[in-house]
Amino acid sequence: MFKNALLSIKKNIGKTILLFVIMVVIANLVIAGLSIKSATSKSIASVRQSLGSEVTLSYNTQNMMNNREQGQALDEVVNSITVDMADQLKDLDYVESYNYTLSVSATSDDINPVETTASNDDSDTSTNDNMQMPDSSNDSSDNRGQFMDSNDFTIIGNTTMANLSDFTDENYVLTSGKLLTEDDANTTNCVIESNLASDNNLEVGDTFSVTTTNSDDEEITLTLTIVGIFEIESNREIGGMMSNRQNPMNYIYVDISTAQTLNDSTTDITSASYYLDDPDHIDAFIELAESSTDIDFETYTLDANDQIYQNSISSLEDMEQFANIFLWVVVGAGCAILCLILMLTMRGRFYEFGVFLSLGQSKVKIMLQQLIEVLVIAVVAFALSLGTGKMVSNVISSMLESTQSNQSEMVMEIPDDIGDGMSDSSSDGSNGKIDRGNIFNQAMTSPENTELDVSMTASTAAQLAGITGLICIVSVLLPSIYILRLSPREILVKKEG
Amino acid sequence: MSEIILTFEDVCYHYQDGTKQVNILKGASYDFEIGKTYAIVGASGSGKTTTVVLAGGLDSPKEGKVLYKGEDIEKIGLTNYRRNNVSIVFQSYNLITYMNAIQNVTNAMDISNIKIPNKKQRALDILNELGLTEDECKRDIRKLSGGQQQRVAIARAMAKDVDLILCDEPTGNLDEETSKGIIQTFINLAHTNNKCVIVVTHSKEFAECMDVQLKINQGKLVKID
Repeated sequence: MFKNALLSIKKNIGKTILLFVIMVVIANLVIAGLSIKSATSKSIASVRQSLGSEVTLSYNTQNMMNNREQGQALDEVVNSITVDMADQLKDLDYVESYNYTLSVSATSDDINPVETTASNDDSDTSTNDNMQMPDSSNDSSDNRGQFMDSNDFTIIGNTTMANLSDFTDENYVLTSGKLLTEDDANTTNCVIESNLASDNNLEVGDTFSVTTTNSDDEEITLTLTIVGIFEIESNREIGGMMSNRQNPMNYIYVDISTAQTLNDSTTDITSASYYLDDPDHIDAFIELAESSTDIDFETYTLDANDQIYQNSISSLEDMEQFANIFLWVVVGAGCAILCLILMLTMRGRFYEFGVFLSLGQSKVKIMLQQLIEVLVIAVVAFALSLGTGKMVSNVISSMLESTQSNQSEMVMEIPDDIGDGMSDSSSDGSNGKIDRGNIFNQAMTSPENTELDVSMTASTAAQLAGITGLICIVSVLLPSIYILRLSPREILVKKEG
Repeated sequence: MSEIILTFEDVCYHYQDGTKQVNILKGASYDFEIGKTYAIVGASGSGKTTTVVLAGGLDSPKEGKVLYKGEDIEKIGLTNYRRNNVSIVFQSYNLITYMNAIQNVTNAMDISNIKIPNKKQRALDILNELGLTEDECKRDIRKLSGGQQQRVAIARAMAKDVDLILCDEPTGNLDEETSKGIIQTFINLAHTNNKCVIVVTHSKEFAECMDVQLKINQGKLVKID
């Protein structure tokens, strides 16, 4: 059987070369499809791991506004997020770490703020009277409803600064000292911006006092010790703010307990962020939170800040989908072309099939001989394709990445006013919410993170072998069955006819 | 009386030609004996080739049975029967074109699982016996003459070393001289090697050389006295 197959390959050299060329082309395209599929899968996994996933507990603003009666003040309808509420979520499945944030407005007699507008130059820093729009980031419970802002600083209390997106995304870069960690709990350590430090000749280790006013108009003053100084790298952080307090240069990061002392409340926080192990678990986490806690999700909401992940992943998923379709088309077209060629050549082999049958050869063995012939050619084509497939993969992936890059550029062509609006609505960086400008910036850098590695792997080679084998089997079986369903007499009569 | 090797037992065969049923064999019965040569003669379309086809297990009768040494060939299994018990020589030779003469003969031996030490030499011996030179045996089969190709087909049938050899117009494409040689080969196979040779032929001369002449009359096998 094997001997006959080799003999047939050797004698029918024209057919052999034709099949070989077609198989090389099919195998190269299959390799390209498999490599891109495998590369996009790897990239998706990589992006997923690198971005992690963050879910924030915050007010349900939409419901809040729906429930608000006409003329009712916002602070009458807004309910604070409590530590008890936030603690119910921190131990749920999928949560890797968490951060509670509390923002408090403050003044200081010891230091001057970095002035936002020139009109402030001559005014007393502790009594500036800039008009302020309501904070749209829904996290500043301390000044809800205030339009006249006399505070120059925003004290931002965090459980840990390790996961703050402005620092992890390197919009803010630590220039000296350290960031606050859980080890700084119950201390008055703080981290300030470099311009604020230089304007006031402050260095790591220096102290200064800040003052807040509670609801009974009693002043609370604490002396803070600087343990770290950061610099703002991102230009978008500067400008757009309407008061000194909103200027990130006047942010003072402290431990959550210090912020609670200054806020004169140990129960309320501004927001709680939960960092999950995998963005795929966001929906499961939200479902779990809704079913296993007594938090009223009519009033509060869990925002999955997975836009960056979705932005980065969507193009990769498109590419993966393309690779899948591409692969199926190649396999389908490959099968069809090979079937057609084998059918055409087998018409000429009616005779041979009839002779073998008349000699007593079984139908299975006749089909096996055909299969061996095709497989022998396929193995050689496969071996050659392992070398050339990498080149084809690189060419196709380059074309795809170029298309992807063009699409990204189109996405980035956003009207300036929308971009400005987004800056205005950006958070103060303390509550873990990501503004859309930031998303665009990160999405823009995503192609770098998601560059496709189309290198040939053992798994790809094994898949290629499997797919090639499958194509060969289908291509041989279909025409063979078509012929061998006939009796030997019918085959011989057809041949003679 | 010699051993009966093949029996046609009330064999019927027909085929559909559109809506019309064409009956070829209608209750044909006959016993073929080992060591004899048989000629089946008759007009075109009388059912001569169908008789060979059914005797060779290339198709099944619509009714009745074909028995090989008393056993229904359907029970033996048509493929097994063709492989182990019968050889067929066709008018159009039916050789595998990508094999030379020797390879065609050894291929038949391989399929029949004939266990001899040197199949190639055995094939060459048979082919030489039939008048083919070694050079001709190694030549592209398509470059041999019709007579040479027919001799390769006969060599292939002989190489299987079975007791029943069926031939459908084996000399139809051959000249008189070559035909005589082939007729003598068949006679020798039957008389010397104790085979049963059944030949379908139009040739009266060929038929007269055979031990028994049969004709198909109204779908039945009838001996010509």
